[in-house]
Amino acid sequence: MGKGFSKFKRKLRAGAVIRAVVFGLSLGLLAVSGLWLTAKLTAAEPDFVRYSLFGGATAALGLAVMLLILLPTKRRIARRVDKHLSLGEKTQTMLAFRKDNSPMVALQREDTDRILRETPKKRVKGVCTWLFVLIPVVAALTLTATALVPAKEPPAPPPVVENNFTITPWQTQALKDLIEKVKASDMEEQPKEATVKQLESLLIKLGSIKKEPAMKEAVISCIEGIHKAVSEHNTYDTLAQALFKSPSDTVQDLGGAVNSLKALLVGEWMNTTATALAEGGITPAELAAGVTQSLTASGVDTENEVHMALLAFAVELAAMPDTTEETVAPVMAKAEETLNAALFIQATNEEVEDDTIYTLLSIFGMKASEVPEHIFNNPDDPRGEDDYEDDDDLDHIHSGGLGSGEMIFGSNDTIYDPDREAYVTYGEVLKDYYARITDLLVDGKLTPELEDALNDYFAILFNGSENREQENNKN
Amino acid sequence: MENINERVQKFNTAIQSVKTQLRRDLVGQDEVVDNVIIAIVAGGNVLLEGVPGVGKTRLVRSLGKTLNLPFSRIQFTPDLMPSDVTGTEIMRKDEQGNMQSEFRRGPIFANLVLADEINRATPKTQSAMLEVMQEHKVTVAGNTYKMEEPFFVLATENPIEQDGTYPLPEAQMDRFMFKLIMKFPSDKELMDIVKMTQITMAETAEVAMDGHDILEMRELASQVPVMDEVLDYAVRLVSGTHPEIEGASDTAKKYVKYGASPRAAQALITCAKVRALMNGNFNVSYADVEALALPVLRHRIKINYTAINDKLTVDGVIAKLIGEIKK
Repeated sequence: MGKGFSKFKRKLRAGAVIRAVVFGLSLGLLAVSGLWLTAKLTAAEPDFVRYSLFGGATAALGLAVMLLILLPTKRRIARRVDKHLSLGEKTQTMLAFRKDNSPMVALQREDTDRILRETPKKRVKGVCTWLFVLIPVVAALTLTATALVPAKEPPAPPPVVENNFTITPWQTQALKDLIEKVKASDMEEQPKEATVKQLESLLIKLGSIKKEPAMKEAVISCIEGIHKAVSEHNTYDTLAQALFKSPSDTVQDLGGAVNSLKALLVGEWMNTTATALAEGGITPAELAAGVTQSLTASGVDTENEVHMALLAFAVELAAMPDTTEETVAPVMAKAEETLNAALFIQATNEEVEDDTIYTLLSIFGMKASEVPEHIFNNPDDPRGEDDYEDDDDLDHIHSGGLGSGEMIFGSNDTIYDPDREAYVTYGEVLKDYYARITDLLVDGKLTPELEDALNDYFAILFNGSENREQENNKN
Repeated sequence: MENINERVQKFNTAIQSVKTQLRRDLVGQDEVVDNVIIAIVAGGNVLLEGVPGVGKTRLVRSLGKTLNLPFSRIQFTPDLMPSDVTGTEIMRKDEQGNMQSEFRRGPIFANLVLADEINRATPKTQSAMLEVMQEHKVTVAGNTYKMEEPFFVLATENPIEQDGTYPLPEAQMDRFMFKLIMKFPSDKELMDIVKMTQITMAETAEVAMDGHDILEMRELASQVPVMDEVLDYAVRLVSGTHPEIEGASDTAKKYVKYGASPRAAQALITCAKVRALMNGNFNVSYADVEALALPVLRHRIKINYTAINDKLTVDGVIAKLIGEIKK
């Protein structure tokens, strides 16, 4: 095409690239400014890495789009050159007839190229130069302004309303009654003493506490102290963890039964293991060795009753002459009785602990969710629920605590009535609840479905309550 | 390339020389002179309109001398017959005394013909000009006589005399490449005219080139390249004068009764090439086409009564059209 045209072609195309780059970078800066400003105005935490990535992507996209728009074709270059230099379509004609070599066309081409070569490049301007000076200035100013804008402070958290606290007489009495209840319980001496001490300490502390948060803190501290005392005293969980580590599945299952504190599960294990011994699935010596190794590894005091029960069982197993039913059955029965008795004591410790904790929460109007989770968590069974062979096992796991199996309606149990400031039987409270529900029913504030459900519920409760009272009266 | 350069140089030199010579006899009217030269080089006929005494006849006579072309002047009158223009067969005795017919050529047989006050002749006589203007030949009594090239007709018409004039038919109008308006001179120009004619009334222009040169220049100009966009512009300019065409300009729809013929587009491009070369350019530009739009179109379109009511002349309508057609 000629050097003259090439000169302007290079200039205009370079100009287009520069403009595209400037535009892209400016767009990127504006994008970053936008995000940053938004973060400042919404009191969000600025994430400059994300802003940079977004700004970079925006810049790249802006550059590409602008390049597509601005990068001139040869025709556009020719048109621009003719317009700026008032050449009367010389350059465009030269381009249009570039493949024509007739004398006049060649003359036209040479004449045009000469003019272009002699013309300084600067006489042909790029597209909207002023705009591509203005855009980056605006972008820079926007970024600067964004940097200078103060970040909005995050909203201050609502002021903690600390209610005042003064222990009421009935709370004092309830706490004293609880102390007496613990003393009279079947909890073992060591944890009992510690529990009573914690409760007495709490009573003294609450006399001087004036704010509710401090009160709750004191109650939680007391609960943690009680839990620690009971946990450190009970050994069933430590022994269970040691049994879980045995390579023998049977021994691990024994660990599960011990860990559950359920007599039912201990009994089941005994039956299953008796069958396994009779069928040769495991030998008495193997089982005895497994139990003994676990007991040794546990580190529990040998004088501990659960440890003693398990050790005795292992000794009996090792001494078995054969695995006939006549030999195995008595051993298993004796072990079951001894082990359950030992576990029952520790279960009682935990039962009293739970009862004490819930009573404390009730007295001081606190929720279970305010107590640290670990207080209520049972020791882990590392085997998990999937290790059980069928769902019946799961039902047994979830089916309540170590009890005698008797069905109790609970009418003998007392519950603290804040209105009367005394412990009353559940039946008394039940009547009050029913009266209130009846009022709501009469006022039509309950839906028909709820009405029916409540009627049925209280009917059952009343029947149970009345039956119990009759029995008590007979006794 | 060297050859072409020399030819272009010669072209420009000749044009300048013709202009110089014509200025010796004609004061002002530079645009008219330029356009007449363009038409002659392009091979077209010109219709000159102007009030009496502006120099129409003088221009053509000077042109004849400058171009060294046999010149004839036909004064059109209402009683002028076609044979008075083209010539006629006459009977004459030869040396043996036998009667033979002989064709006596009429005044049309010249290279440069001035058809003075052409609109005074009858349509019959005017139609005699049609064939010779378009095809450069005359047919009389079945015999065809070709004109010697280059051949031009420069016709004049007086705009103010309405009595006893016959408007030129559209077909004849279309044969004129240009219609040029010779305006009344300015005071300064009039002063110069008076001073000049006090010395002598005769044309003093000298020969600057001849017919052969004109043909060469014509061939050279035809080689000037026109890019498609400019060609398209010329075409749209002409088609834009037609109100019946889809996409016609608003001006055409409103003010034009009928538009220009395809000869207008041919004339535009042919003359634009000459103009470009005359201005030292080797390509046709939009400006060249635009500059020639008025002379090429003004006698080829007819404005309607709406234009007359709006006090618009043909030139005004054409100017509006040029403004509407985008490059």
